[in-house]
Amino acid sequence: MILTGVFVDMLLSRPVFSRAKLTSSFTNLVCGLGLLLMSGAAQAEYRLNLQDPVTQTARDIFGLHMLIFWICVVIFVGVFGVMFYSIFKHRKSKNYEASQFSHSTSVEIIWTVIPFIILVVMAIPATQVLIKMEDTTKSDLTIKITGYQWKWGYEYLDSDINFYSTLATPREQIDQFNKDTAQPLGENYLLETDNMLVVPSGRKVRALITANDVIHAWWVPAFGTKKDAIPGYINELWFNVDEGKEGIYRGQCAELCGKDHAFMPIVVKVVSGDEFDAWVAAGGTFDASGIADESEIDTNERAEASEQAAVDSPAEQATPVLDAIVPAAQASDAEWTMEAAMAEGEKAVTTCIACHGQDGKGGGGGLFPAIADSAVATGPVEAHIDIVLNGKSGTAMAAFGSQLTDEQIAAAVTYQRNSYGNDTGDLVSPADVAALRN
Amino acid sequence: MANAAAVDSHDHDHHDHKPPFFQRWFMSTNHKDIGTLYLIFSLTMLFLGGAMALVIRAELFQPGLQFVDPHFFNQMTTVHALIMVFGAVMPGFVGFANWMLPLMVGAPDMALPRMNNWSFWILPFAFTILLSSFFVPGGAPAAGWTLYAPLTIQGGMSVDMAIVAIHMMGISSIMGAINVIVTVLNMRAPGMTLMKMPMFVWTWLITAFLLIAVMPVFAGAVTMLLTDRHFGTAFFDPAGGGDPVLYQHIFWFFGHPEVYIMILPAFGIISHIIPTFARKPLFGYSSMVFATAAIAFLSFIVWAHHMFTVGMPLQGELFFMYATMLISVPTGVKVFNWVTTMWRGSMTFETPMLYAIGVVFLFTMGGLSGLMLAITPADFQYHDTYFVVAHFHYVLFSGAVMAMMGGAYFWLPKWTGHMYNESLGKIHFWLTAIFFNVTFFPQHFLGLAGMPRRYADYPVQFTEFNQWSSVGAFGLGISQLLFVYIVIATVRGGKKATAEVWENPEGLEWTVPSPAPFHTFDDPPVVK
Repeated sequence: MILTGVFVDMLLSRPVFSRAKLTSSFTNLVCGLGLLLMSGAAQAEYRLNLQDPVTQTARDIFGLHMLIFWICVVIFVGVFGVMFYSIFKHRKSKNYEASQFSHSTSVEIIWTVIPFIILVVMAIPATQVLIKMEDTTKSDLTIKITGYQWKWGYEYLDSDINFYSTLATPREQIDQFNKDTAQPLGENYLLETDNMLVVPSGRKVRALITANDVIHAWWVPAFGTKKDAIPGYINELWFNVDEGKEGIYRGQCAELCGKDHAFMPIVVKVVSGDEFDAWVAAGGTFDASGIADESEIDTNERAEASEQAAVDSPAEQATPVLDAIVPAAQASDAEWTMEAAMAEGEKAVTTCIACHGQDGKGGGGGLFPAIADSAVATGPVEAHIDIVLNGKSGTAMAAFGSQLTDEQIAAAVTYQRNSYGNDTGDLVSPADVAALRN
Repeated sequence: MANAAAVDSHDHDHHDHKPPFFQRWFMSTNHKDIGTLYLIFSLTMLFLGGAMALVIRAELFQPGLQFVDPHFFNQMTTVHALIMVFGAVMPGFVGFANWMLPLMVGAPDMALPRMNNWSFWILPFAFTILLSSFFVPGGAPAAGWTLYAPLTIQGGMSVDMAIVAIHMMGISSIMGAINVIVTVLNMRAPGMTLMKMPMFVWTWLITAFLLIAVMPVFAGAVTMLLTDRHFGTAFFDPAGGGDPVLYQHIFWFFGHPEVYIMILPAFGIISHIIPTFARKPLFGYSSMVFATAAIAFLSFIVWAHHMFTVGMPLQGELFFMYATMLISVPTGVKVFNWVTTMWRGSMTFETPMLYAIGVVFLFTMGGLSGLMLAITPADFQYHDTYFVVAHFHYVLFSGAVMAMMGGAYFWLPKWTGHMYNESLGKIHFWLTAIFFNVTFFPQHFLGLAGMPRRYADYPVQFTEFNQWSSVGAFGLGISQLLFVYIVIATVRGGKKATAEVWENPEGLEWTVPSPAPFHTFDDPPVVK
């Protein structure tokens, strides 16, 4: 459909520059080559080149990229200009008599030395940029970034703010298998999270990057930063967003990390230094600091279901900060009824169903076991809580003890033991979970 | 050793006496038949791996999940790559080596014919094991062909099956490489000094040394993975104090020379085709040999450019950047020499020549995007995006695979005794070249704009170019059916080919009749 549109546009010779802010040089080249530029107007904006840089590093990279690109273009045009000239002139059909020369030491020395000199010309600026990029000293604040299957955890090491950031795109948009239940894709499809990383502009932000399970990579293209998040390692990177470039920037995980590799985006909200200070002073909450929490607005617009959830538990939605290390204020036993636990559990199991399936029947052709009628979910409660808390080594079952509160784990376990056809009748309380934490 | 092979051939009185079907195809020690088996195997794998690529492209035609779930998608990307690398490209070149090396050096057969048989027959079993992993719990390996730990430590039993299969493929490759080295070093016709060897022989000799050097490294890496998974070691498992980055260093110490294992024989084939159709000797033969050797040497000291984002120290990043950039010098020499070989030739453009020119043109595009990837700061943006996917398909498909297709058209008359249909061959070339570019050129844009690779689903702004890519991929896949038709038609009949096939081609293979008799060069030719 879209392709048809593209072809129609090509036939109508629509102006090539109608859209997309491109670096004109790159566009010119591509136009010159007559390539793939026409587009239908109805689609989301696409790009041909690196995203617009908002840090000095990203601008440096962009400059390097264009420098090398043009050098390559010149070499390419030069070499193949000669080749195509030869192809048109030196052909048997034009009765061209073949010369029989077979070597020329001087020519060969020239075309060994000249490329070498070109390489040196490329290497000097590349080295300068690289040295700057690797200098993580004199930072203004430090954030620890942890990759999980499949979400990001952020800890502001200079304050006590920490939270997780999970894909906010509803499942109904992603699953297009069944056209009856599928929803149309949103504008920021797969590039939206429940909580955003908030950073100030004009300050050098240093990030310490690690992972909890497998290797991930944290990448925000507009910042010019990409670094692997490797379990057992702490990598470093830094960025300093230009003042005046406040806004939302989006990136994605860039290292294959299993099933939901494509579903753990990165959303960064860049605010002014003052706004950031207010945000930190308010303990990382948006309401108190007066900064619009765009993540929540987006989420509510997109999914009525989550809006409903927000009404159900306003306390949890009011703040995007989940304090995972110190469990949130727990409901007293009196409030912890089966109904409450099941309602809470239905939300908490979103973590579980990523692998074990919406219907609890497992996934991955058996790689991710079923919860329905499983030995764990119908056997002893302690073993069930234990595997959620501590994971199972040698498998993709992570230890969720540090990621979920006692309340969430209790709710999720309760839900799993009383859903999908399981009917143990067990009501697991947050205290049960707390008792099993080490 | 030369004598052993010669004695074997004396069992048959007549040059063209062939054994009965089963003995001939299942117990063969004849280099031509084994070469044919390798080539058929390679083509079969090309279609199998291609079918998986089409599953990938079908899913990526639109954002959202329409056909497969992400876990199965990851199996497709992983097994597609394993099949193409170890099942299509490497055995394909071994097939060419088997057919052509003895004919080119004037030897009656490969030096070690029984080992030759064995190294082929390991492959169907290895790939049966790999492919049957689709049917075990958890499905096939899904951690990418690089099998990075610790993701592979999480995988199901299919990872173990892949490891066993890789060991078998490694044994097969090493035996094939030994056979090449022994044949080339011991069985050349009198008078054929090393610096008179045809380029294909040179490139394969160097490739064979690369294979022997790095396949054991890969075997070591996957064995350590196996013991991490089952025997309580923690080489790579951080939970036990292991180092996931160590796996990457070992893997890419194998993986980068592997890249050249897949391209050097292609360079060899191109170096035969271009002089033939330019009617002019290869320009700068000795610098071509030295450039090949230089590329092979450099391939051992650039591996970490595949892992610039793991957080190496600055000095390491600088070293690997400079070393990687250096590779473009000998590679450039090869391209310049091919173009100069064409210069002031008397060119005709039969299908093999079209392929050779296509390879030089498109491979160079992949080489130049490789140079861009070498620039560490820029690589931070390109790494693990579709820019990389586009890059390595330009060197692997329009480099290695298209060179093999060109080579197949070039030597098909020698193998079958019939000329292929030239018009169909040219159509096949243009379909392949055009659809290839429709598939992979837009992927450069996708990568630059920020689409990571190995993604089952993507944000909406990547839609258009993914659609181009998917349409191109189906066109590319379907066009290859024409190749199968042309090959089968040529085997069955067609215009009789002369011994020389082309106009005054260079090389001993053109001195034997077409089709090449079952046994050739019982008496070694003399090279002046």
